[in-house]
Amino acid sequence: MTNQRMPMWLGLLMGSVIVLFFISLTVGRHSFSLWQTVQELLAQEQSVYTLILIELRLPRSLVAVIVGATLGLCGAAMQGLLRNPLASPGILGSSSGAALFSVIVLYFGFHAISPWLLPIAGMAGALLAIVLVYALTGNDSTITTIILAGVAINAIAAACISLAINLAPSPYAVREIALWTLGDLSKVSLTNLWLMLPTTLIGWLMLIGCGQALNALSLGEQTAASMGVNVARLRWRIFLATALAVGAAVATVGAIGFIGLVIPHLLRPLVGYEPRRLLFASALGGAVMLLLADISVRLIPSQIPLQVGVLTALVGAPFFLYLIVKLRKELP
Amino acid sequence: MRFIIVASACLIMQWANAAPQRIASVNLCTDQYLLLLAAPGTIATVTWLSQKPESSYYYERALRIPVNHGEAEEIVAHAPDLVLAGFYSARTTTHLLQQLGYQVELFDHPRSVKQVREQLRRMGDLIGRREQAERVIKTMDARLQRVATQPADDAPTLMQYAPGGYTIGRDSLVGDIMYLAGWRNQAQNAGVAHLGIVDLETLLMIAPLALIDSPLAPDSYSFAEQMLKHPVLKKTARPKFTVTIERKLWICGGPMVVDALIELRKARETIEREAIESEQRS
Amino acid sequence: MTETLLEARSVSVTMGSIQCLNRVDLSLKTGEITGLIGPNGSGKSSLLKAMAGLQKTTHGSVWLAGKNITHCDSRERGKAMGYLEQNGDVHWPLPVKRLVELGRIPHLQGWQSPCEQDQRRVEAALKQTDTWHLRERTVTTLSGGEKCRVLLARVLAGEPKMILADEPIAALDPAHQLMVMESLRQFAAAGGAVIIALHDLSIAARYCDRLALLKEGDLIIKASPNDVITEARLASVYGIKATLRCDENDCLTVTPYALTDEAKLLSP
Repeated sequence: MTNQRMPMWLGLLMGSVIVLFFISLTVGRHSFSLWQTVQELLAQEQSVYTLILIELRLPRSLVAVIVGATLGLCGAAMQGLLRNPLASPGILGSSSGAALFSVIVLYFGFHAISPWLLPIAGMAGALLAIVLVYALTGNDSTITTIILAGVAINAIAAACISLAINLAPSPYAVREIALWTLGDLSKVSLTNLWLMLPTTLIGWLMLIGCGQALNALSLGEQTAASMGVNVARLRWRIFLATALAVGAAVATVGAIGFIGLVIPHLLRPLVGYEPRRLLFASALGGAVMLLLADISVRLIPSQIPLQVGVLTALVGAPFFLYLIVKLRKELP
Repeated sequence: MRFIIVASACLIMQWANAAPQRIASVNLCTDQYLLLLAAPGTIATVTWLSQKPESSYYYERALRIPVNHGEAEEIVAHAPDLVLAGFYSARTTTHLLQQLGYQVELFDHPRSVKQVREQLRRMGDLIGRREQAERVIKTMDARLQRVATQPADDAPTLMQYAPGGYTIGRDSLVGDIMYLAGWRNQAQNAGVAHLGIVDLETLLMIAPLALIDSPLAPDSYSFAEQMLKHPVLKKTARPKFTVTIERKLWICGGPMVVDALIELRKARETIEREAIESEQRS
Repeated sequence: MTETLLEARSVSVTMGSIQCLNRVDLSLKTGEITGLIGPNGSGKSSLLKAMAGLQKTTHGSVWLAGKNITHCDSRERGKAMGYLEQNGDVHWPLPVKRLVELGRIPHLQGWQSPCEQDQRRVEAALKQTDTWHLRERTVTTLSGGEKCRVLLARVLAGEPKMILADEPIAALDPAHQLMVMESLRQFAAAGGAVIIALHDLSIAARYCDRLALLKEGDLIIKASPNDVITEARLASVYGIKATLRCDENDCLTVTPYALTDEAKLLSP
C-alpha cells in the first residue's frame, strides 16, 4: 500500500519544485514576460530583462532550491541517525556554528583573501558545532541530552555572533545581525552560487549513500552493527556531510530555521517511515518550502526587506506546536 | 573711580550679552557648525565622531577638544550652559538634560542648502557669533553663485546607491546639491522623496547613468556593502559611471557642501564632454 | 557433517574495572542449539556480543569460519550471523514487511532495493514465524509476542548460518515462548547453529542440545542439559533450591522454590 502511494507523492513533489522554480523566476518588483525574455536570451540579445533574469532571479531561485534541498536532506539524515524526530541541523547547532565562522570571515575582511574562504568557514563552523555537541553528549546519549547540548552550543554561538558583529569594522554590520539568524536570499549572485555548489554537492553525495545504513539503524545500533553497518563511520560521515552542505548554505544566505525540522516530519508518514526513502523526499520538500517562503517574501509588500526565515518560522513554529499536540493525544 | 565705573560697565555688558561659554554638542552636524563658528575656548565637548576624518570636515579642530559619546553623564560633567543636539540622535540624553534644566537646542538635519543657511544663522545667534555666521554665509553664497545651476531637460541621470540599497530623494541636502549641480536625480522614479530603499531590480530598471558612491567606511565588509559590488552591476550598460564624493562634504550642513557641489558638477561636465566626443567619433 | 561455525577462544572482556568474561572457550556447531545460562551479570550478553563481533575482547579472540572475526569484512559477518538484541526495539513505526526486509541489508549494496529473490526470502521468513498475516500492520501496533516473532523473521530473512539471541523470550507468554523455540529448532535442524541466552531453565533444558553455564564471567561447565542442571549446581551458581523432574522424553523441568541459606544471608 505504501509502496504505491510513494511514487504519486514523489511525482507531486518533483512537479511542485519545477513549477515553483519557474514562478520564482517570474516574481519580482517588476513583472516582465518570462517567455519573451527567454527568447531574447536564446537570440543572444541583452536587455535589462535578460540581465535581471540571469543575474538576479536565476541565482536566487537556484539557491533557494539547493539550500532548501540541503536543509531537508540533512534534517532527514540527522533524524535517521539520532533516531529522533526532533533532531535537525539547527537544533544541533550547526547553523549557528556556520554563521559564527562566516561572520568572522566576512566582516573582518578575511574573505578578501579568497572568496572560497567563506563557504569553507561555514563548513568548519558547522563541523565544530556538531563535534562539540557530540563530545558533550557521548555515544549513547538520550535525545534530551543532545538537545540540551545543542541549546548550549546555539546560545554560545549566538552570543559570539553578536559580539563579533558589534566589533566588526563595518558600520552596516549591526543591522545585518537579523540576516544571519533569519536568512536572506535577496543579495545572491551567480558567483555565490558557484562558490556554494562544490561543498554542497559533496555533502549530498556523502548522504545519498547512507540510506541503507539509516534503515538498519531503525533496529538499534547493536543490531545494525551486527548487520554489517559501521555505526561510528556512519555517524561521522553524516556529521561531515551535514557540515559541508549546511555550512556552505549558511555562509551564503544565513541560517534558515525549521525546514530541516518540519519537512522530514511531514513527509515521514508518506514514505512509510523509512529513513532511506525519506532522504530524497525531504530534499524535494525542503526545496518546495524554501521556494514558497522566498516567493512569499517578494509578494508581501513591505518597506524594509523581509527575511525569508521569518516566513519559515511563522509557518514552521505553529506546525511544530500542532505536532506536539497531536503527539500528546496519541500517547496513552 | 572712573576705572571702577568702566570695569563695572564692561562686566554688566558681558553679563547682559551672556554668550554661552561652555557649549556641549551631542550631534555630529551641530558639532560641525560649532567647530566652524564658535569662539576659541567656548566649546566644552563635541561627539567622538567629529574627530573622525571620514565623517567630520572640521576634524582637525576637534582633535584638541574633549569628546563625548552622547551619554548624559558625560555632558553633565562638563556643566554646559548650552547643549546642542539633533532631533533624532541621543533622544534620551536630550530629554534628560531638558528635564534637568539645561538649555537644549535641537537642530533638524538640513534638507536643502537654504536650510543650511538658516541653521548657520540660528547657530550664530545661539552662541553669540552672529557676525561670524554672516561672514561664512556670504563667502558660501559667493562660491555658490558661481557654480550652482539647474538641471537641463536632458541632463544626465544620477542616483545615490548606498549599502543596503538606500537612496536619497529631492527632499534632502544631498538631493538639493545634486539638483544644483545640474544632475537629474532618478530617486523619484523609484518613489523616493526623502530616504528609501531600492532593490537591484529596480535600480536596473531605472538605469541611471551614474551612481554616487559616498562610503561611510571605505574597505569594510558586510552584505550591505557587497550589494554594491554585485556582479550584475558590472554587466549592465547603465549605471556606467561612479561619482565618488567624500562623505564628510555633505553628511552635514556647512560651507563645505559647496565643495561637494563643485565635485558633482565637474563630474557631470566630464561625462557630458566624453559623451559628445564619443558621439563625434562614431 | 557438523562443522564449527563460530568459535570463542579464551575470550576475556574487561569493562572498566569489571571482568565481564574470563577466558571463555565456546564453539558453535551446525545443527546445534547452545543455551547460555547463568544469573544476571554473569556475562551472557557480553559473551554473545563478543561472539557477534560487536564487543572487543581484551584477551583471546573469536573465529568465524576459520578467520579471526576482527579481520572479517563486516558484510560477510552480517551475512553469516543473525543477532537478536536484548529488548530489541524498532525506532520508527515501520510496516512489518518492510521491517523484515531490513534483514536483507547484508545482501544488498548501498543503493540497491530488495529484488524478487529478496522478496521471496522475506515471505518465507514471515511464514516460518507465522507472521505472514501481520505483514501490512505497523510494528508499533503489535503485541510483545508478535513483535518478537517479527524480529526473528527479520533475522531469518537474512539467511544467516547462525543465530545469536540475547534473551529473546523473556517477556513472552508461554505459547509464544514455545513458538519461538520451535522456530529456532527448525532453523538448527536445517543446518544452522543457534546460541541463545535464557533465564527459563526448563525451556533451556528442553530445547538446547548443550548448555553453557556462566557465573561472574567464568564458564563453569558446558555439557548436555541433564549434566549441567543439577541441584548442587543450581544452589552454588544461582543460590536457589529447586525440584528437578524428568519427564518421559528425558526432559528436565526445573521448579525453583526457595533461596539457599547463603543467598538468604546476601538478600536484604
